[in-house]
Amino acid sequence: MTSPGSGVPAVELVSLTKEFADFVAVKELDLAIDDGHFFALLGPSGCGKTTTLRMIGGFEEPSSGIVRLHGEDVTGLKPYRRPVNTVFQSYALFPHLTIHENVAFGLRRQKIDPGEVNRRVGEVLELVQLTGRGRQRPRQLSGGQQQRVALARALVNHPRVLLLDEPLGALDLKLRKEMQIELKRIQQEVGITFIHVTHDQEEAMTMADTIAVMHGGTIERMGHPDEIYEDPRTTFVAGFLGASNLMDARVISPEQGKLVLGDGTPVWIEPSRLMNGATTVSVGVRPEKLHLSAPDSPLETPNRVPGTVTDASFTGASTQYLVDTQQIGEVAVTIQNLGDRRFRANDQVTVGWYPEHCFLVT
Amino acid sequence: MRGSRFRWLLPTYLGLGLAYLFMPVLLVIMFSFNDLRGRFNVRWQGFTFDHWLDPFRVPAIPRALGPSLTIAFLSALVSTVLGTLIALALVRYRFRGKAATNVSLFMPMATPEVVMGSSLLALFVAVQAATGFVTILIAHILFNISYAVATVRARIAGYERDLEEAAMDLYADEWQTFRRVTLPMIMPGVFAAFLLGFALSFDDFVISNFTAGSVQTFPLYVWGAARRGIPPQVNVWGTVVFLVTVTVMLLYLRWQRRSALKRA
Ligand SMILES: Nc1ncnc2c1ncn2[C@@H]1O[C@H](COP(=O)(O)OP(=O)(O)O)[C@@H](O)[C@H]1O
Ligand SMILES: [Mg+2]
Repeated sequence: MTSPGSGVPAVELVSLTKEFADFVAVKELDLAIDDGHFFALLGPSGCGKTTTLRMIGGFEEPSSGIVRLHGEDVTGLKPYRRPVNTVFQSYALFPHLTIHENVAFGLRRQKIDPGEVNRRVGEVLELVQLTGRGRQRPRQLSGGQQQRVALARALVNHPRVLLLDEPLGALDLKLRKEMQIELKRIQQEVGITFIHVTHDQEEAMTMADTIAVMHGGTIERMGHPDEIYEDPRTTFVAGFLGASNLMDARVISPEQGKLVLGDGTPVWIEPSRLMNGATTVSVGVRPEKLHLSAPDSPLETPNRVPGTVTDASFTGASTQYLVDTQQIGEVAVTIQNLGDRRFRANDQVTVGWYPEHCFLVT
Repeated sequence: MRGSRFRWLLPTYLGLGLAYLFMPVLLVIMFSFNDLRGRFNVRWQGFTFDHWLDPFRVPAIPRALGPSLTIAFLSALVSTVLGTLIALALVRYRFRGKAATNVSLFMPMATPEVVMGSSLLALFVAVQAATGFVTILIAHILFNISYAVATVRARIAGYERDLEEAAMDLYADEWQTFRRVTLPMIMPGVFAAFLLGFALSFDDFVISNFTAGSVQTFPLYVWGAARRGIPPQVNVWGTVVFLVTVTVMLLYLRWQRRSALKRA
């Protein structure tokens, strides 16, 4: 066993693979998760998130590869021999037991002294704001409360790693937002490594210190939410994390970061992002990074293309435009409502953006 | 309204159905109070408590009840335990021979009792097993298992699997998981299987007749007594068994409803 902060990852997956009869759900996945982090495993339905989580928890045996918890190989161990606990998507509360007994279940199996059990159950029920509900049954609670019981039932054991499989999936939007903040608070309070599986990119970005984007059984991009949003590196990640405009370009000068579009219009990007020596690249830029101006009041952005507004929808805080351009087709543009001029359909405009807001995708 | 003209139809239908079901039972109970003269307890001759006050007058009856109740209890117990495990395996796992197991479980229910009884007798003779208490027990366990599997299987909803994983996640090993989670979840089915097995075994005549040897169970005694005239004490004991069974069932239903209310 190692103590937190010793540099050994809380969870380490080495070339982890899971094949079902006719389907490879997880493919040679490598992953190291730092201790004490709020880690999100993000990806569309069917990409292998649950399977990965179940292999960490011990509910699914890997076809090959290794699972390490704090440096210890646990690949063949039963779930009840692993220092991890799980919050199941279905909550899986025991309907025949009271809330108190549900939460105490893990402690009782570990033969912890009854007085200590009561103390810890009380403590954790307070943490999830369910004090006084101990004698009720799961079905007497609302969905959000059941969710917090499931969380308390796992946390009370002080696991070194907490696994959460789409824990907020069954809640309505408002409650989900509240619980996102709540979960984040609890994680910071207890300092346990959380591995949170979700298909909701906003949820992952709100909560996680580190996000791994999964696609087709492997991790396609991993990093700080900022970092992977601004530099997603693949078309899939760029699209999954939010809207983006993509354009094909030819590299003219890697040192200066100069590219040209099909018709010769120059596009400047950060030279550091052009390292791989490719001659043709796909450039992306997010809608909120684009600027619009009337043709007679030129933009100072180095990158500019002319276009025609085809659609404008005002949402209060911002306006979403669709602009048709000859060089890069239809572009989505989001402009913050700062009181500047608003455009309407058929207006002629210039679309502009800065080099540092461009990313390259493969 | 069109339906209102026929509103009496459903209650009448129900009443007739219940009467059809309970008339024989009511007759059994009624004739336990029959002040009969002669040997054949088939004609109403007046009311008396005599038979209830002297239930042991025919010693053969308690002598036959002994093995009957013991066999009913043991066969229900064994078949419920085995049936529960088989039902869980059939729902949970895919294994070689699953289809064959399903069919062979259905067979005892579909096979005519006469065929099964005589086959069992042939088998016992072939292996030179002396027929008696043990052979009846084996035969009763055999047919009870099928019903136990069917009854328990109906109670396995599928979501227990999640709950079992949750238990294992919370440091319960396989046995603790079964005892603390799986069994409480399927208990209504398990209990129903036990009651059903008990009733089926207690009631069985045909198969017992083939496998009993010299042992006399209650149904075998009654059948034998029928030619000489069934003593009214048989009705007394039949009533007692019926009342006990119904009471146990009602108590169980009430307990179940209570705990369901607590959970709801
Ligand atoms: N027990 C199983 N047998 C066969 N295929 C499975 C099984 N479990 C999952 N899969 C398949 O593996 C893929 C990944 O599943 P899963 O890990 O549940 O994805 P996610 O949680 O990302 O939605 C899916 O295509 C699913 O159909
Ligand atoms: Mg999933």
